[in-house]
Amino acid sequence: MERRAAMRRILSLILFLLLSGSAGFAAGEEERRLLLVTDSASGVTSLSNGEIHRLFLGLPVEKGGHVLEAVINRSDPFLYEVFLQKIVGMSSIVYERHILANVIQIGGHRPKVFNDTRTLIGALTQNHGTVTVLWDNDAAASNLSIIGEVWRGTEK
Amino acid sequence: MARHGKIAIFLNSFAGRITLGGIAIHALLIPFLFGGVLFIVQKSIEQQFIEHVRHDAAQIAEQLSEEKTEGGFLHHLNDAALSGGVVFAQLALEKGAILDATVFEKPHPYSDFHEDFHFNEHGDSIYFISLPLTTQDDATATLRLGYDETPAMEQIQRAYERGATLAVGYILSSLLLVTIITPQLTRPLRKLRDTAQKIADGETAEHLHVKSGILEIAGLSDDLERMRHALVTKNQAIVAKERRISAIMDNAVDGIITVDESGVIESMNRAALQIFGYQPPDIQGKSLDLLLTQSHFISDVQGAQPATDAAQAPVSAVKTQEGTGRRKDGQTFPIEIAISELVLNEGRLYIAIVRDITERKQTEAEIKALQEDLEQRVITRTRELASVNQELEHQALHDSLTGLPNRLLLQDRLRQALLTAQRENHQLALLITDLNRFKEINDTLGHHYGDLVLQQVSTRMRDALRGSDTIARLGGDEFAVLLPIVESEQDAVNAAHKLISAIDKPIALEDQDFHVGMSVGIALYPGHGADGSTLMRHADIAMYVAKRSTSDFAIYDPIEDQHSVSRLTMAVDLRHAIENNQLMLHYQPKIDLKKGRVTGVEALARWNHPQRGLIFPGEFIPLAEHTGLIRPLTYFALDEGLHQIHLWQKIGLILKLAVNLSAHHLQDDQLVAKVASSLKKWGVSPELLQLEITESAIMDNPLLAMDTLTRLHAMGVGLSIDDFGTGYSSLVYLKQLPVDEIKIDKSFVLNMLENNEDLVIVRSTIDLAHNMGRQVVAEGVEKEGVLNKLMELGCDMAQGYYISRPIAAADLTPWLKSQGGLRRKSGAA
Repeated sequence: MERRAAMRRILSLILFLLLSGSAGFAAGEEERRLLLVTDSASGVTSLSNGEIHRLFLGLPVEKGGHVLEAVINRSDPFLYEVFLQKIVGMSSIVYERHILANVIQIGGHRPKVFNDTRTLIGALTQNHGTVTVLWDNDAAASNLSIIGEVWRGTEK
Repeated sequence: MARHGKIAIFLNSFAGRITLGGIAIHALLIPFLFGGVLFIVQKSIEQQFIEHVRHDAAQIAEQLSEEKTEGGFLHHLNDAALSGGVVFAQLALEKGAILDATVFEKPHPYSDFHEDFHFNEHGDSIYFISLPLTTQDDATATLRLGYDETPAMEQIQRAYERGATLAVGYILSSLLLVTIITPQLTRPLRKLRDTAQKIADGETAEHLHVKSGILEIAGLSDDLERMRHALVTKNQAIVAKERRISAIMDNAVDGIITVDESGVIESMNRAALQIFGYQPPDIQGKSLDLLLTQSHFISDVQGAQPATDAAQAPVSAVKTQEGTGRRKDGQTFPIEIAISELVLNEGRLYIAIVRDITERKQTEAEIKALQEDLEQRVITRTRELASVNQELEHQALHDSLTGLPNRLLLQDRLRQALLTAQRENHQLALLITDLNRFKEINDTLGHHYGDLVLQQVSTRMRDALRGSDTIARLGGDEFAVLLPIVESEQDAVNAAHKLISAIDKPIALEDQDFHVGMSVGIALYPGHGADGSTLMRHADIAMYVAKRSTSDFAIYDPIEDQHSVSRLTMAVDLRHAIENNQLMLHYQPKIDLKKGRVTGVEALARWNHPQRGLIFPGEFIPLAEHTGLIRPLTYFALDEGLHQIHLWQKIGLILKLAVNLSAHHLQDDQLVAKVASSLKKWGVSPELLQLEITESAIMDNPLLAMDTLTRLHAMGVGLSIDDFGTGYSSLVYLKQLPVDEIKIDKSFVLNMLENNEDLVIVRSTIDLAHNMGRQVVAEGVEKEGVLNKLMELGCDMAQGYYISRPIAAADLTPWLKSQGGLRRKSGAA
């Protein structure tokens, strides 16, 4: 009796793992949106492609009386690749080299980099005029203002 | 097979191990090294490709954003397609129109656009990228481009191929180097090995030195050289030790034989060869049985110790035995053989130490014969001694005259009887007897008859009592009887009656009958005492009571007249005191009034009683006279006094000794002999002895006194009339007596100054004495005035407390020395 119960438990576990895997796979196929967001108090409602490009290259962009500040989201490798391809149009090495060259030539400081979404959202909330990219579900869960869509699609 | 063998040897060699180690290291590290480098190269190529794609796409998008017509769009799309690398170019306009580059074949195969974000993401060898743009007329569009990934992939492929080639080349080069270098490394080691092999083979003379730049090998070479040197030194020491051992063995007096496990002789030293008469070649490979008649010696010690203990104690306990050896000529002889077992790693070795004991055996036989003879003599002597001892013991414990037990044996039997009585809770009786008229027989008929009486008395006493009763002679006419078991007092009384009636019958001596009565004193245990001493004393007292009473026996009665008992007790104690030297003498100086110096001393007895302390003569002299103890007491005073005179003479003090005699002594026919004996014993001149006797004693039996005093005077002994004036004085006898001196009684001297009558008596006595040619001594001088008066009256000498009290000799001697003017020996200080 005990052996049968143990077998039943093992089968249940295998079934659970299979279902969890298929669910993850299904989630991977789900369409996602990468959004451009800013703090709700900045008053910025939209940015042109050029402004976005300039902003994330570390060049000064002024909008609505605020000098905007770019914040890099590196919490997700895929998000970062989409960001590199869609916004700055560079590989990661060239982008970092470019940012560094801009800082040295123009002055200022490099955009802050966050590896954790929650910390990133907190930083955006506290600093007015900060702009970054977030997945749509993260953006919806925050009080940030969506000012553009960078990409829409499925991963893989 | 031979090849496999060589490979195996090579792999087990130092070079083989270095080679294997090199291969193993490279096999592990090369994949990591080249794999890592190629991975970095691959990533770099991919990054460069992506960078190129994104940058190129952005530029095309920028060019397109400056156009607003389809022609312009197509122109730029075609330019991009022709620039190389772009295999797909499309612009999706806001209105839904799609413009494809016209330079590609129609229809192009990339209808399913999947944007890539990583190199070779979808496995289609094309990197698709889309970029939004805003045209010149503010219309939004999306630029879709496809870049061929194949060149980059080929570049990566080539990098991998070159990397693999390099890795193989590297490994081969390494192996080649290892193959070349390893022999260089192992050559000095091989040389070291060859030299070590030579040392192992005994070729130790060659120095070991290998040149090498490798510190470890050079160090190893030095260490091996030191080891070789130590080995050589040790070998030399071992050889020297072996020579010494060999020399010791050859010079040993005992034969030493070594035997292997199977009993075969391995070696014999010189002594062993001489003992057995062999030469070394004779015993090669021979068994030990050749030398011994018995073969059990080896087996006796075999296995005495397990071989595993060899490291701790390789030699077993030596077992020494005697046996018989056999010489080469067949002659046998006694040997002593000690065999020990030596446990070595290569087996067991037996060491036999052999000694020819022919001479010893002969000596032992002689000693044995002598020993037996001696033992026989000892037995004989022991028997004789036992017999003599028995005789001596009998003599020590028995009276020689009567054969009865003496006092010593009686005391022992009394002690035993008391213990038995105490344990078995019964009574015992001790009887002390004394013959009543024995002294008269002894005095009148002499000691010979006295002894015969004592012998007959002892026989009768023995016959009258049981064999279990002890009859002992205590001394003189005194006997003791021990009845070890009595039911009642009546048993003791019955025994006393038997004794009295046995003695009451006349004793016939040489046709003459004599009657001697017996007085018996009885003391019972436990009623009259719990120990032997008390019983003896109480039986003695009872005997004195019987002697005084009309009855012939008396039982000790503690409630009897205490005075009587006390006196009797004292009498008994006095007798013990005389016997046990409890008496001592004090000396009172006599001063010569004309010369003014001490010329003599009077000896006065003192009794140091154990319980009562010092007792003066007034208390015990009358008792001594009454009990007859005055005789031994006087003999004691005489002997001890002359001894002291002798001691004083030795230090130069010449004094005259005065000793008092009682009336008894004038009837003692032994007195003269005793005086002569004591004078001779101490070497004192008779003129230095003055015997003092009272008038009364002389008048008791004037004739006898005259006889005794005349004999003493003839010897040269001085005589004094003591206490003159106090008793009956017969001037007729006084005139006839050979006395030299008259001592005026102290009762006249003490008060002569106050009492005129006393003074008259003293003066008359002095005058009378002087007229008769006698000297006068005044006793009891206690005042200076009396002394002066005596000198005035012409008294010759004086004594008394004024001059000195009687004191012990030890105290008197310094006083006498300090007086000065004493007569001294010529030359004495």
